[in-house]
Amino acid sequence: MKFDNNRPIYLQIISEIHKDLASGRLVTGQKLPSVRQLAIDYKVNPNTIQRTFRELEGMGMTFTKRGMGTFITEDAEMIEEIKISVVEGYVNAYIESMKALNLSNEEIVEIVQKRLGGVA
Amino acid sequence: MNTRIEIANLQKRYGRKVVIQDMDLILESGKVYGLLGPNGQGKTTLIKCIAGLLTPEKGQILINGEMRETRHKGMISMLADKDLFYKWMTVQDTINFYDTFFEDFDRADSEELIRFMELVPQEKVEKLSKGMKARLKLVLVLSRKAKIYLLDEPLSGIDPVSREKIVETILDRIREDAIMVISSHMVHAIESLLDEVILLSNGKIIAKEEAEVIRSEKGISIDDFYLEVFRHA
Repeated sequence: MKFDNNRPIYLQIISEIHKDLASGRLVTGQKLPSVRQLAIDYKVNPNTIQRTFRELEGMGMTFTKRGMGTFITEDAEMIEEIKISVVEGYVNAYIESMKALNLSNEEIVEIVQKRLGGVA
Repeated sequence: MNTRIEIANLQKRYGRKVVIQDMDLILESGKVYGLLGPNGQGKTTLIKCIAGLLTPEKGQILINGEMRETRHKGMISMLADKDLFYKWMTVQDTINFYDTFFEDFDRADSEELIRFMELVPQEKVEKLSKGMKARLKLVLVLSRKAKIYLLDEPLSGIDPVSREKIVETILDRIREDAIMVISSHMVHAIESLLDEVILLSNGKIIAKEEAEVIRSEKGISIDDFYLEVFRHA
């Protein structure tokens, strides 16, 4: 993936992991790939991944089993909260840009409904 | 074992021109340093001083607390801007050459790298394109399990595909117990590799900062930081 070089890379990797949790690609208790593997996958310095892991563990999103690796938390409530915050993040960003175009709440809802109706 | 380079009060001149001025710098293993600056600011000279190819007039370079000596050469794997091959050599010959010359050469790893870089062992070195030659040089340098890697402009004048391969290979060979110094004026291409950024201007370090700190505190890329600094330098 391509990173935005204007923002800390470790924060961008954390939001990637959040997205994977929201979509269910990562699930509770799942083992994360090794630092080395992730460094290669994301094409970033291993120290950046280490930093990411430290932050994730600090937030309680992951835990380390000695000699076994890093795992996603088993706290289902926490994962649910992350999912909600990821979805809200996108929704808020969408609403904000619609508001910037001077659309009313009703118009926004109408557009979304129409669009979804068209797709489904 | 960890490796540490301490540079203190270093000065190097070519004739009357001072190329490195009273430089202090500490480099530690497990980190990738980007030695950045426009041409002619002293990047190559600094690298050559660390490698022991140049003798500074003043100051010292300590490697793990000891004065830099000939025996430290075995710890250092350097990618120079010059080509060091004989005309008759094939890709395989260069591998064999390095293998006999350097104790820390990892043959199995070199074979893996040759494959990854899509180099053909039977091919003559002089027939290689610039990009392929750059790939080969990097293969040779990184196949050594050295403690200090000095890569001088590994990407300059290289096509984008080779550039990507080279960056990926460097990434894959970053080790906890080794120091990696990469000099470049192509900041964008190596940005995601770097732990720390050292900006060199007129033989002086004008900035030394963690890459992520630049991004989080200034909200800009290393590339932009570089431009910001050198536009006013």
